[in-house]
Amino acid sequence: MEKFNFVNPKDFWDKDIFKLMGLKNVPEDKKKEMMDSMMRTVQNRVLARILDSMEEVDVKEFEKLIKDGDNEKTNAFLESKNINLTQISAEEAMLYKTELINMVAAGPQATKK
Amino acid sequence: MPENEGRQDAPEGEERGIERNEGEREIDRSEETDTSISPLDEGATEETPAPEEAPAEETPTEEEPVEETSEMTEEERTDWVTSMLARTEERERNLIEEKYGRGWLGKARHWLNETDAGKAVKIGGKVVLGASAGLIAGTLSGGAGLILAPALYTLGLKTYIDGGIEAVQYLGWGRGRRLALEGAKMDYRKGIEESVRDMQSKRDSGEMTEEEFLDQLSGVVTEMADAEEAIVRQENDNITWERKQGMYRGIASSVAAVGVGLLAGIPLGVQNFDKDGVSHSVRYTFRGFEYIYNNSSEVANAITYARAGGLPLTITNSIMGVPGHALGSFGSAAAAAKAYVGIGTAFTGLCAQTVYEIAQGKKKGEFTTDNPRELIELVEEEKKRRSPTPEGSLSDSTASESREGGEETTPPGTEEEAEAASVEKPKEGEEPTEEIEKEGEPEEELTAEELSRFLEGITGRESYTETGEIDDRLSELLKIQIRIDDSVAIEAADKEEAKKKIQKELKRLRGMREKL
Repeated sequence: MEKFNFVNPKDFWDKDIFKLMGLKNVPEDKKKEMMDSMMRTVQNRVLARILDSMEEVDVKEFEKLIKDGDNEKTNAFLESKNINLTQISAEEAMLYKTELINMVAAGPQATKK
Repeated sequence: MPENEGRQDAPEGEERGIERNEGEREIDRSEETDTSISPLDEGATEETPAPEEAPAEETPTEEEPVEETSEMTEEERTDWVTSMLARTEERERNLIEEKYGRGWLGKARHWLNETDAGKAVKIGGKVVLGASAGLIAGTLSGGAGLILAPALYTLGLKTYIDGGIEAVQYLGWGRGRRLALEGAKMDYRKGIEESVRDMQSKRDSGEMTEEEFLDQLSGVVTEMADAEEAIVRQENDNITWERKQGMYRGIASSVAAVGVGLLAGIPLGVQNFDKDGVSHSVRYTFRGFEYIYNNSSEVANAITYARAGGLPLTITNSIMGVPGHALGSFGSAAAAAKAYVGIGTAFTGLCAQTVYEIAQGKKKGEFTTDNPRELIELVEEEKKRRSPTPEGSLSDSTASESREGGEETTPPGTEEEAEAASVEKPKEGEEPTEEIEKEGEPEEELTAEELSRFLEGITGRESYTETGEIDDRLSELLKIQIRIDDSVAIEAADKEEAKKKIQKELKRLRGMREKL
C-alpha cells in the first residue's frame, strides 16, 4: 500500500476522525467514549491557548468572570482581548485531528519514543 | 437517463473509491459501510454531517491511512488509540494545572460545556467529526445553487485553509516565539529576584556593607534595564511578525482555495439541465463543467444510456475519487450564463475578500513597519523607570562613596550618563557650576540660594559645536544633581523641582549631542 503521509484538505475536512484513523467498526459506545476524550483535550487546548494569550492580570479577571458565571461579560471580555473562541476551537480541533491521524499513521513504535 | 444517476451527491460522496482502467472500466473497491458517529451533543448532531448519509465506497488508500499499524487488528488499534487519547488528555491537563493552578480546569469546564464557549468548542467537535462546507454547497439546487454554491464552497474552503495556515503559523512559529519570550521574561525575573535576595541576605548578615550592597544593586539595575530593553524589542518583533502573517495568510489561503477548488471541483449544486425530471450534481474543475456520480454503477448506467441514445459522452478520470463526465450542454444559454456567473462570483468573491482583508489591515496600520522610535522611547521610558540615576537614592551613596574615596565613581544609569560623568575637565566659564565646584576638593553642601542661582541659569548655552563640550556639561549637571540630593539645607519639594529641571536639561543636551 502506498505510504500515507498526506491527507488532502477536502478529505480532511469532510471525513470523520474514525474513518481517517482507519477505525471503521468501532462500537458506538466506544466511539462516544473516544470522542468525549478528544473533546476534553480540545477544550483543554482551547483553554490553554486563551490563558497563554493573556497577561497575568487578565487571567485573574477571566477567572473571576468564569467563577461569577456571567456568560455575556465573559464573552465581552474575550472580545475586548481580541480572542476569537470559535476560531481557536476550530483550529485546535483541526490540529488535534491532524495530530491523531499522523499518530496513527506513525504507529505505536513512533509514540514509544 | 437512469434514475439513480440523479442521486444528490454531496462532496462527502466525492471521495468514492473508483479506480479507472483504460477509460471506462471501473473497479469499485469499496466494501465498507459507514457506521454512524455518536455526536457529542445535540448541537453537534444537528449540524455535523453524519458519515452514514454518504454511500460507503472509498479506496483503501484514502480510508486506511495507517499501514504501519496494519499488523494490528482494528480492535487492538482501537485500544491503542484510546490509550493514547487518555494519555494526551491527562498529560495536557497536568500541564495546565501546573501552570495555572489545580482548580482552573474545574472552574472552566462548566464554562466550556454549557455557555457560548461550549457552542464554540462544539464547532471543534464538528471539525473532528467531519464538517463539510461542500456538503452545504452541494445540496443547493436550481439557480440559487448555480450562483451561490461555488461562492459558498470557495469561501468555505478559504476559511478552512486560512484557519489551517494560521494554526500552523501559531503552533509552528508563533507559539514558539511567545513561549520563548515568556521563558526569557521568567528567567530574567527569577535571576533578578535571586540576585537581590542574595545581596540582601549578605547585607543583613554583615557580609556586605550598605555601600557595597547599593553599589552592587546599581549593577543589577543596569542589567535589568538592558534585559527589559531586549524584551521590549522582542515583543515589538513579535507584534510585527503576527501582523505580517495576517496578510500572508489572506493571500496564501485565497490562492490555495482557488487551486484546491479547481482540482477538487467546485460544486454547482444539483441541476436538471435537460429537464428530464432527474437532477445531477454538477461541478466545475480545471477541465470545465462536469456531472458527477456517486459510484461506478451510476457511471455505467450513464454510459449505457448515452450509447443507447447515440449521445457523445466523455468519461473523465476521477478527481479525488469522484467519477464524472464532461457536461455536453447546459440546455439553455441562461443556465450556462448562471453557471459561469457562479464560478466568476466565487473567484471574484475570493479576490475581493482578500483585498478587503488587506485594506482593513492597512487601515489598522498592521502592515506597516514598526516605527523604531516607538521602541527607543519604550526602552528609554523603561530605563528611566528602573534606573536609580540620577534621581534615585543610589546616586547619593555612590556619590558619597566617590567623594569619600577621593576618586571618580561611574554613576549608574545610562551609558551616556556614565560616560559623561566619567569625564573630568575644567568647567567652562559660562556654566554656573563653576561657582559651586572646586576640583579635587570635597564639595561644600549646596545651599538653597546657590541652587536657586543655578536653576536660573540651568539652560546655559543654546547650542554646542562639539560633543566633548556637551559631555562636560552633562557631567556637571549630574554632579550637581548629586550635591542637591546630598544637601540637607534644601527642602524636599525644592529638590524635586530641581530634579525635574535638570532632567529636562539633560534631555535637551542629549538631543543636541545626538544631532552632532
